[in-house]
Amino acid sequence: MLRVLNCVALCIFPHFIYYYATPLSEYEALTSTSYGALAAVGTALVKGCLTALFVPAGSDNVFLRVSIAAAISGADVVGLWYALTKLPHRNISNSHKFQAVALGWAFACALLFQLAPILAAFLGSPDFSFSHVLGAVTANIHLAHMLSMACAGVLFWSKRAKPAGLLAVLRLVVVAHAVTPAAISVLADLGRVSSAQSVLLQAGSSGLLAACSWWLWQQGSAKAA
Amino acid sequence: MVTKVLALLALVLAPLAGAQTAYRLLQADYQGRQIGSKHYSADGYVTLPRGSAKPYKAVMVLPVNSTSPEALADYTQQKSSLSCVLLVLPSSWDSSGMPAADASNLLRLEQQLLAAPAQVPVFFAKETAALADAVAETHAMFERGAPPTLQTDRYQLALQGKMPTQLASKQATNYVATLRAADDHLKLGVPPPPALLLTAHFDSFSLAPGSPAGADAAASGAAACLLLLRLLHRLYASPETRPSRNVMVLLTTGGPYGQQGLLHWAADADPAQLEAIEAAIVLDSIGGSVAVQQQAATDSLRRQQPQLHMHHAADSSSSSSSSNVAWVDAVAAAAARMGVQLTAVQQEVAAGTDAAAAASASLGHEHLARKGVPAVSLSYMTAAPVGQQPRVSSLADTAAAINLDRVLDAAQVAADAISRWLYPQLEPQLCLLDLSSEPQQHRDFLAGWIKLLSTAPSMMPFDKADPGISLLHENIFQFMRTHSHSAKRHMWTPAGTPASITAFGGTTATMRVLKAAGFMQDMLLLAAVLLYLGGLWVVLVVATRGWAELRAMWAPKPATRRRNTKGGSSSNSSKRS
Repeated sequence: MLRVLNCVALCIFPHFIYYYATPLSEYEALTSTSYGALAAVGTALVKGCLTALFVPAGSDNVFLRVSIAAAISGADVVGLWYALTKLPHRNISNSHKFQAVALGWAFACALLFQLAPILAAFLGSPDFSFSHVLGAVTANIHLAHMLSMACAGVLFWSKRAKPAGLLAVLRLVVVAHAVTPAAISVLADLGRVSSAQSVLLQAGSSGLLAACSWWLWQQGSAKAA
Repeated sequence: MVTKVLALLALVLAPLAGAQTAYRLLQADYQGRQIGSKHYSADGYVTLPRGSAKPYKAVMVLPVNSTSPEALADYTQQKSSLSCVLLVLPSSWDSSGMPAADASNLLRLEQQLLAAPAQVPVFFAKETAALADAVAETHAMFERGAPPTLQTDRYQLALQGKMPTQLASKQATNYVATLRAADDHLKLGVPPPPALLLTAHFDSFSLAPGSPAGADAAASGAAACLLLLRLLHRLYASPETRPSRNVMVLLTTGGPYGQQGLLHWAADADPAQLEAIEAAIVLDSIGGSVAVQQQAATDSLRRQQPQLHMHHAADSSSSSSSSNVAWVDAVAAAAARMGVQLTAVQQEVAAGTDAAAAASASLGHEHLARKGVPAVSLSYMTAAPVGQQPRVSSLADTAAAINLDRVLDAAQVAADAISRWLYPQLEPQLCLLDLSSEPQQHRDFLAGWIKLLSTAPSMMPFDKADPGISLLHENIFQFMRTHSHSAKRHMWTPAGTPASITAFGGTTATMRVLKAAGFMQDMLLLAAVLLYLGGLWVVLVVATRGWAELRAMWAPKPATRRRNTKGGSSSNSSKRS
């Protein structure tokens, strides 16, 4: 029971902490956050249907499976774009809007992909596994990844004011944000990395991308000044 | 407290600690018959077969020397909540060989696994100090009346394997090297000179293909063939000693499947070439190991000292019976000269279609006898293992179990018979394999090839993308090419293969033995989580709002004046006045 509580706390509390510790709560960005969460749920449903329809079950053709899964994961980009542009947000700055949507998206993913298995395992049997702790840690890494992607997204949104050299780096960083989770997932699926190594890889890549986003933000702010 | 902290740290750092190799039960044979589970990884806490419960997410550890086939069936034949079953091999397994009793029990367990598909993942692993400690402490927990669960202090096993891959090609490969006589000019229309065929199969069928098994069943014969090829090459290299007859050395695959490789080679061979073969020797299981000995039909045969047997066919065709008998006598005479005790075993070879032949044959001489080639099989098997398809090499059949003296005995018999056939008129007769000179070199040669052939993956069909398999095949081919006038690959397709085959990749797994703490670990984890969440709060507030805001959160709020309900506030009344 204590381990379940640990995992639940580790899985979802950071999202609440981010919302209330940062100025997001003062800007009443709950609506935008909710939009992000709903978009994540909708995208997950669509991806699930596409996966069931198009990914050949039981196929040993790794390349085919990976290619189709990679194409389906492009639905994430569509979901984020929809949440940012097509839903009516309150009158808040782009920076806060991107943060709120990213936070909502990460929260919904944490609920669906990390918390749900933890609770299902707990309800199914009192026994537990260290892999669920790793899953809760993964939720945190995903949150950091989404926020750093939001930072890069904000810069990309207002790219007109940026110099060409910085734009090239910005594009590279945005693509890396989009591709890295899928690549690590493929490596884990192929058995090339263990679950613990996969989590370390995600943490390392998210940290690196966050550092890149922070550097770009600094550069963008300096150029704007 | 300190030990618990260290245990938690050990759990976290365990992936960095040492690990050992475990071997996964074969998922399916090349005909698609299901044998083991498709799961190539597993983890769970260590438990032992005490009581009838099948704990959830547990690894059932079963030592091979004390587990009965019935108990194994009980844990593997039904879907259960077990994470996997781990069969533990003795620590002497691959260093000095297994005792006969353990080998015998392991063979029975393997027959049980082959009899019905396993519903839970099954792995084999050698007993190490870490594993022995885990089993001993788990025993102690049972003795104390506190069997292990996930909540209690216990050991965990984590097995991480790789996903099997799909084979691109179903073809198997035979390798044939030819030493040609001086007057064999390969002219069209000119019949080739008489030839002798020396053959062995170098593949084996093991229930754990990743394990170093098949040393006696396959590697011993193939290694002896390569030794004789090397010695014969010296004769053929010099014009003075070059014989007027050909020798072909053929290493085949498909041995466990009714010697299909030899059958296909004989079917595809040039009829003139096949007709030119006057004699053939098949070397099969000549290591005299305990593993092969335990496969004998009766207890009395299993207890006997290994003895070299010469298996030959009673051919009903009268035209070839005299040459068959002459060759059998020649090999028997060679054994007598070499001082090797040889027992002749005669078995009638039934005529029939090739498919039926493949289904019934278990020793190579049978296929050659059907083609009219006088052939014998030299083996320490007392009888051909009739009816077993495929013929299983026990996991006990490792290089450590091989008796090199027995391999050399069989090689000497074959060498003497070959040299007398090559030089029928020569007196005194040439000693092709002279153990009085270079004995250690011959032993080292055999030991090296037996180790390579048994440790490299050698199960048909072969995944050519596997570096171990491609290295083995390349080594064989290069050796044969260097020690002969011509070396060729003969490709053939095994009968009955389905459209797609999952290769035997994922046959090994990395196994880690972890000691996990229970409640204390959770308390430490709670403390770590609270520390992390608190730290996250502080960092985010400072980063986004600044230190002042953080200090303001903790600063005591100023006291508010109490409102005077009767006369209004004191400040208002003073203002009015």
